[in-house]
Amino acid sequence: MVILPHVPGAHPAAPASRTTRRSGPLLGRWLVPVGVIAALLLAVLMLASVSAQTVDAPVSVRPPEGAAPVAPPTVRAPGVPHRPLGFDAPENTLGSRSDSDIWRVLREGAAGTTAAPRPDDGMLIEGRRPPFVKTPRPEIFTRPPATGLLSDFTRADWWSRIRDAETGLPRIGGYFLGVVLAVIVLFAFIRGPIPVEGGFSGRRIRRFRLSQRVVHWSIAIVFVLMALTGLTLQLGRPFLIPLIGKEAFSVIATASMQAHNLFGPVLIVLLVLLFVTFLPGNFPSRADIVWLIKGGGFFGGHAPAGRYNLGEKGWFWTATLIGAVLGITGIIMLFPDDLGTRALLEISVFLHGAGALIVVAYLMGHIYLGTYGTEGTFEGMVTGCVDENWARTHHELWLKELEERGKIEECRE
Amino acid sequence: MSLIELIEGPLWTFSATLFVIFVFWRLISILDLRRRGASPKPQGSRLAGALRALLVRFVPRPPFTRSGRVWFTTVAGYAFHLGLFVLLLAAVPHVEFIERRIAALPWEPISRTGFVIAAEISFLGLIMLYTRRFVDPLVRRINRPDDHVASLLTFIVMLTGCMALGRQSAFLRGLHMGFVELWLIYFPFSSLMHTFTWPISRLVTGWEAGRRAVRW
Repeated sequence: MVILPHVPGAHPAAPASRTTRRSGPLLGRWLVPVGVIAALLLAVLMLASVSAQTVDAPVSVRPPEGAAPVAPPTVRAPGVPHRPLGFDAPENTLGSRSDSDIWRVLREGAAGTTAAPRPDDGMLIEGRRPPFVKTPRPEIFTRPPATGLLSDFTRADWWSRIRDAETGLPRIGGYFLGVVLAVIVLFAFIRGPIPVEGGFSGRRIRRFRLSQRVVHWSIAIVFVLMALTGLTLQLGRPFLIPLIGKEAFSVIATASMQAHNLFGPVLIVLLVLLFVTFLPGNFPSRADIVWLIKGGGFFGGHAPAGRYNLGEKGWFWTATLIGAVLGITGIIMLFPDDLGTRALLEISVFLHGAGALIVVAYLMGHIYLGTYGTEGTFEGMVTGCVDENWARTHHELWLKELEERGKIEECRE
Repeated sequence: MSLIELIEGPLWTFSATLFVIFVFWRLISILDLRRRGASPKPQGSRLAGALRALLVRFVPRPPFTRSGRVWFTTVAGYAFHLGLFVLLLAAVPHVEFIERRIAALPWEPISRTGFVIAAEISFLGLIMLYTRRFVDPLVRRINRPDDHVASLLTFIVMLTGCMALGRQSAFLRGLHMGFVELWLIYFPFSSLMHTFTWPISRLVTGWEAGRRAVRW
């Protein structure tokens, strides 16, 4: 009779603690070294190749030398004589080859014909102002365009201005996040980590359940991934292209877009789980006002709070509400042909970008306070347990409530 | 030879060969550990015990069905593994690659929508299971570096694969392939081998339980 031994590690939940070391006479003790050497060999080969080779040769869009010139496509707008839409520089302001007339008509919303069976067909440039702009300035067509994001909105200009890499949301968003980061760094430099009053007591009490910690860190991973890829897409043109060039940026942008689109729905699911698991304790209370008046204890002094302070509640509701906006607008952007008109898509892109900037700014503050900025906080979200003095320092009302109800659960780990 | 040619050519052959050789080596070595010599007379059906263990263990056993942690592990585990297998065997780029480099497959690749859904389910399961490795005190203690490396490598392979989904960049495809090759080489020497050893484990354990007429 042949009896096979139990194979540790064969089940995913039961790691193979010693399988490798006792893996039989055929493998012996050579198994691991050979594997490691093989892996190192591959890594060295890859690194050597990376340093020696250049991939992704840019695809040239230029015709080969000597090729016959191809006539540019033509578009005819009402009232405009037919002529090619070449991009040659005009000989003078209204020279014989200037296309300003046709572009002006297009900006005004001239309808043409197209083979694409979509809503808004035939509208070559969408002539619509956003609903929050009440006073259109039609005279803009007779004046040079004004600069600035929110000035002189016209029927056709607002969208291109918002997306303008030099003056629009990408650059303003980059400056906004830069200012937030600078404030955090300045605060860290001046204030340093906020200490636990009386030092660590050594007595640790339960603060977060396992489900809360799993959801928190899962959403943290996906959130950071979404933030990095999203910022790459939104801020890349004004900030990354000057640093790494268009070709490298195109690769990074392609990868970022795919990852961002793929992880978006994952983030939506996790946001729902976050809402469900963290909702208790995140409703406004009178103690929030006191906490706010005392500056949250960030500038010295003691600011009592319940289970969550106002800053944490703000983060929770920001992540929930703006997260919902990001989720809805993101889905519209994922399925533009099925879910949105052009106007809805434009609004969605704007809200998605602006909302993401707010969330990322809050996220930076959250990461700072959860790690370096406040002693003992990071440990609480990893192990679920916090020091009793930490709780007394930052969430005194919550600790008192637990003590009064006899609900304190001491951590023995 | 360009980088992409190297990765898709010699390095792919190298890593796939190592993968096949050492996976078979490990499986044969495990099977070679069989006990020899006389055993007591069987008290029950060994085959029935083995088959029972193989099938019944797909769901949590009755003593644990009231545990939220067990259901979390079960559901997240299935989400990750099933999603991963769909991606591995039915994604269009993978089917094309397998048919071009290995053998024709008897099934059609899934649509892009199917791919995206499978990827999202799989990522969700993997991320939640991986975070549990850190925040569950018990799991954190029994985890070894190999478990973290295996999980991270799998995550990176999946992530780079999804980043190359646009199929617009040879660099991204090469990056994905490079990590796949690293994963293939690491596979036989790590806990990733549970891909092949889990049925052996169940069958052997069930066989032994059946011989002793023990229902477990």
